[in-house]
Amino acid sequence: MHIDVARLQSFCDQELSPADEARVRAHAAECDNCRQALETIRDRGRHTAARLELLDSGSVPPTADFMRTRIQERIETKMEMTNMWQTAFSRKYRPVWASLLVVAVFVIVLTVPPVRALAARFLYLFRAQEIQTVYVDGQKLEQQMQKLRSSPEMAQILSKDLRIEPKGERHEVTIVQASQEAGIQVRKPTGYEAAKWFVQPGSKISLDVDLSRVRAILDEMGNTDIELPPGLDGAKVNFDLQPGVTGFFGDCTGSQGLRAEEGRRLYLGPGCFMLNQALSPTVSAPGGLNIDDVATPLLQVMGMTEAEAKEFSQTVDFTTTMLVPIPRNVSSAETVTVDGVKGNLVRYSGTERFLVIWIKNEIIYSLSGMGDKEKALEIANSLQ
Amino acid sequence: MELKADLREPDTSGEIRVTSFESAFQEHWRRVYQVIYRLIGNSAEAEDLAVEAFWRLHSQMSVDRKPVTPGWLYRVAVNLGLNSLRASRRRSRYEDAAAQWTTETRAGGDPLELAARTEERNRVRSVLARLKPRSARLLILRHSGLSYAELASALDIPVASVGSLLARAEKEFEKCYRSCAPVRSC
Repeated sequence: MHIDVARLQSFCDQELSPADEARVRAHAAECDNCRQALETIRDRGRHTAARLELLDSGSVPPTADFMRTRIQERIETKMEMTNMWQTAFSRKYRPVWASLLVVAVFVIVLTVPPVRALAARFLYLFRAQEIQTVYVDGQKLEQQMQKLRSSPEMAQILSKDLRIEPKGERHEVTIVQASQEAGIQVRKPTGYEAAKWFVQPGSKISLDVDLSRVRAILDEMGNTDIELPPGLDGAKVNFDLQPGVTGFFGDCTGSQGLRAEEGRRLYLGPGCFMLNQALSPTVSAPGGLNIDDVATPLLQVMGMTEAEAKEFSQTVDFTTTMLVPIPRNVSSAETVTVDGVKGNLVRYSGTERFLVIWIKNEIIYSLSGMGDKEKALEIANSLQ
Repeated sequence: MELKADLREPDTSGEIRVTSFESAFQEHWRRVYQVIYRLIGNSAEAEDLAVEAFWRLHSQMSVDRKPVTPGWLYRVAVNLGLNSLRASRRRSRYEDAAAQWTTETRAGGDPLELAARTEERNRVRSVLARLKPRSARLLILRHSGLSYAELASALDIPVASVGSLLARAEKEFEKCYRSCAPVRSC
């Protein structure tokens, strides 16, 4: 009786118990056939191992701290919706944003409120003038987004109700080209050389609201108690994303943001800062809507109770304020004076990372990097 | 591979579960990175994909609240690596080869020997990309130090069949390796 291949292989891999190992050894000593089979397996194993070992060379593993920071960034980037006009409607974020748009019932109408009514009687044109941070329950929101990825209702909305027309791909430019393409006077921090400039062309997004689908999605997310204004059914919302300019400054070696355009590589190394600037987006929506009616369900979806949402709606003028959602468990925000206007400084717990965001002359600026408050404001205040 | 006590929490099926993201990270990040690096041979991309694997672990634990085993993490890692390896074989591989060439020539050494080694590595990776996915996963994970029990958990196969599957995978590897031209037309 010979030993089967599985046991011989296990023997070579030292995966047998000492007793079994002794039995195989004893048998092989007496059985030419099994001894030969064992040799073949052993040789083959050595050969494979030697080939696979070649694959280790050239590896430059990062440090544990570096990896841990990057993973944290990845976890937070997922929840961070502040820089989103850059990447918001990339394929990757589409479901998230579509759900925010739809489920929260026009997050963007809310976040980018009206500045002036259009000539058309039933249309508002929205453009943000200032920023207000709002703490959201990141975990809850994330759980709901996960559920939506497999929702058939969401698939319907993405394929039928939501239309996105990108105007081009992100590309590298000079500062002069950046100003031309974005239609703004691009600014840069004093004392820093820009490593690279990129322009993300704008896009147009339109959404036809189908209230029954929105209702179904809210139910699916477990928000059965949220009231939706009936006037929303059939509403058309148009969202005009302006081209955005991204500049990287300082020591950006090792920063992922520079080498890839994909959303998953947003990591900024220490000493490297990223500045985004873009004209604030415009939104048009039916004029008959009561913004507060739409605001309350949105805030509830973001994790507020109904009472909190109503109270918040009363303190904020949605017609001039852009809401920036801040995940409560990983970050904190404070109001600061920056670039001569009121802005917000967001910090991420457990990291050195900061984000300063403000609006000046209808242009939204955001600056991110690593450092303390003084550093963040020093750079933000030095824009020229 | 030894798992630390705080990572071990047998659930009802007797499998080991990851109970803390931090300890899972400390325990496994280096090996996860290596598994991916072996497959794709590009440090920056291996780093990105390792971040991706741990991000998925985090989501699985904190959002879906599903029980996770270290095996699950390695399955994610090896799949990310293999997908990327296949994708990069469809693209040009000159860039990777050039990057590696630069790294190694900077480190010193005989250029001819380096060229031969680069070619050899390309050949091994092209063999891995051509193997049955299960065989490739088994070989990479085994050679990254996973035990039979861990392989069984990672690849969702009975532990009793790991030996015979490994034997088959090594045979398959050898056969494909020998039939491969030294460059990339495997």
